[in-house]
Amino acid sequence: MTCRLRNATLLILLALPLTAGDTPWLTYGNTLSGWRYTPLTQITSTNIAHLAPAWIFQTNTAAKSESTPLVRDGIMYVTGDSNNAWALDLKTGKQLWHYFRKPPKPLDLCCGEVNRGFAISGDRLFKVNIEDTLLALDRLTGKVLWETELGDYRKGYSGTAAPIVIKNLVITGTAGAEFGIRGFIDAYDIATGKRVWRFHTIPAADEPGGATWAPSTEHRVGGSTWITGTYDPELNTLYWGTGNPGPDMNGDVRPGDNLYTCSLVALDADTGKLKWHYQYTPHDVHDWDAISDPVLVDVTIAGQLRKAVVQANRNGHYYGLDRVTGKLLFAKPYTEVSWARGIGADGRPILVPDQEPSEEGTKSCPGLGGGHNWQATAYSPRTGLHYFSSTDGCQLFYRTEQQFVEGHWFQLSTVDGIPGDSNRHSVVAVDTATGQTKWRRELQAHPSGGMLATASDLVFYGDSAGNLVALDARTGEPVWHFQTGASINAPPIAYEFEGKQYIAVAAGGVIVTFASR
Amino acid sequence: MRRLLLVLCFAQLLSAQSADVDVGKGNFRLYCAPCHGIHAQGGRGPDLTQTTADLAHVISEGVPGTEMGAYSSQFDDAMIARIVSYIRSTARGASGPVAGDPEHGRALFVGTANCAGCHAAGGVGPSLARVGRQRSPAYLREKLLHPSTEITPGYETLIVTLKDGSNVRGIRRGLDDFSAQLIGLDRRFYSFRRNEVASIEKDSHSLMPDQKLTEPEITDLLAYLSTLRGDAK
Repeated sequence: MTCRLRNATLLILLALPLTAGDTPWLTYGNTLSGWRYTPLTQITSTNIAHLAPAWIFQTNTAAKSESTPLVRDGIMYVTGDSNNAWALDLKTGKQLWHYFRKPPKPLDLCCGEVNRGFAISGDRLFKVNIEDTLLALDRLTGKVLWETELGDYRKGYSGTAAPIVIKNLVITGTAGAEFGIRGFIDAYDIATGKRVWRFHTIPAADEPGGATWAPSTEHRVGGSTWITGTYDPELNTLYWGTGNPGPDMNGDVRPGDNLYTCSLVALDADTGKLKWHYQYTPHDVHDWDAISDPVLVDVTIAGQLRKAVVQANRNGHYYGLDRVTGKLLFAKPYTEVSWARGIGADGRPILVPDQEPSEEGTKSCPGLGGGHNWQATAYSPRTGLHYFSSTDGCQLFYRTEQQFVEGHWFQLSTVDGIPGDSNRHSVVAVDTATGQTKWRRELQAHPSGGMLATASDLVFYGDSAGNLVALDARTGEPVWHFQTGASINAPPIAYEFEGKQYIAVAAGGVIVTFASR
Repeated sequence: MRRLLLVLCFAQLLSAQSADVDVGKGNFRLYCAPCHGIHAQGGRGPDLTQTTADLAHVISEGVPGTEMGAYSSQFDDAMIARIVSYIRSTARGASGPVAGDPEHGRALFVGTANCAGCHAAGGVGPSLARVGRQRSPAYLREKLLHPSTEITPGYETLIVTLKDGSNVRGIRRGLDDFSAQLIGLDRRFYSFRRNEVASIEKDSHSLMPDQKLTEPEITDLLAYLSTLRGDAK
């Protein structure tokens, strides 16, 4: 681990109170409701032509960053791949400190040594390391204040999610369902790093939900929790999506619904006790994790104001649930779906037969990555629309037989493309009160980086070709773009510093921040 | 008693080997199948059911000059051994030399079939200098007969229609929602902004023309291609 203080003078200056005209970005989704919405309005469709880079920070790492930077008190805090993190001067982009710890080897992972960002509380920052530890860092020096193990990386556990802070707790999940882990959501005391509660996403056989795994199931595994949840302070309820059961594509070895995989769980934030759950994909065999942002919105349905939680699920349906009770409000497909004829009034999918993976390969839609995967989504209260990326297409799903070996891949097969049937990409805007798609912007490049909505009715996203793009939030028409030079896999953020609005995004291994010139 | 123990040990050994093959198969499908096919029978990468190569070394160190990378930093020896166990379990025996007259195939390549026009050094098509090492004869036959079924990555076709109604067709070098770059069959580089042109479309047809070769000519051409292994002359 290295932790470098580059400039003591800079540190002192940055510690000084800042003037009015600063609007921070304080958590993964900006609000605990997961909106990724900024109230800032300086950048509009009429002046956006003047938007240009203000500074660029080179991390000098070969990264495909998925990180959401945080901004507060004149400093940007951003994590990188492979256990890197930086604090940057908002005025100049210069480095304040750098944290690094070399990941252990060998380290077999499904999806790279990625990290999705910090949480912040007072003078403490919180992040996970890829070997599945949780750390508290001092925000002005980058020094480690405490560190605790979440899961054993030698058994397949890994850490990629941005934590969140609720009251005196820092809460996070784990990755590793492809390696036969038992998923969980954990809460730790922000001062001491002591664990306060743990919710296992896979119940034991004698616990509620345990009977949804047939007694013949030898290994009750999966249910990782690798994307940050959301929180309703009035209900004191935490909402967190869970991943696939293990093995991914051979369901014969785990008959039953396999709770609480591919579900949304609502937990008491103080105790971690389950309030309710909703399983989007019972007995999943297509790796359709339910980890997409659970966004908290209040909507009017049939003249009644409902507290809802909405999610663009990987299985191709857009869901609205009552976030008090967990009851289904609506579910509508937003992309091509072959596995279900719809979602019944009882909340269960109406299955199409013969969609299970096979030795010869079974065509199913959407593909393994789903209609919408993990990429951050955005919601605008001005439009009532939820914006997210969609990949439309099908794949062949294969299955195999294999004994479980602790810490090894336990996916039990894979997918392949269908010749002549290439995927199509789009940005979708869905009405959160009905689940109806209001507009769809079809794209050549994958909108791989997630969304940001602004109060000036713009939606920003980054794409796989390296463009940071702004769309009109009401029509989906592009109004601006900038070529950053690297595939963008991270969501953009907005902040105000010294009275001026900025847009920032991690593109590959650089951080670019934009302002009007 | 000793015989029983031997039988039990042998059964245990077979069971362990079978488990290795199963785990190897799972890993093969994740890491290898995208190029070598879901059943190891070849695709963009060679058919592995007929190989006699030192596969552990190949997986560990890769093959310079090909798309086959080195996996030694990602896989430990045990995992490589399991993958090799699975590949060996698919073995159909080493393939013999490709039938046909390679000399006549070469004459076709540079002559009437006009393959060299695009595939020789400096051509706009994929280099075939090592294709005998990189691709199986079955894959090459399929590509020769049906060039559009799977277009080599990096050589997809793009059609740009200009505002005057004329169009440019070529090899896609870049495409996003704001611009397109391509190399035309005239070996010129073109770059267009979306607002400069009438339309930009992907074309699912390969730029490689359908061949009008007889079956013996195809066999001879494949025999020649199988000799292109990038060996020093």
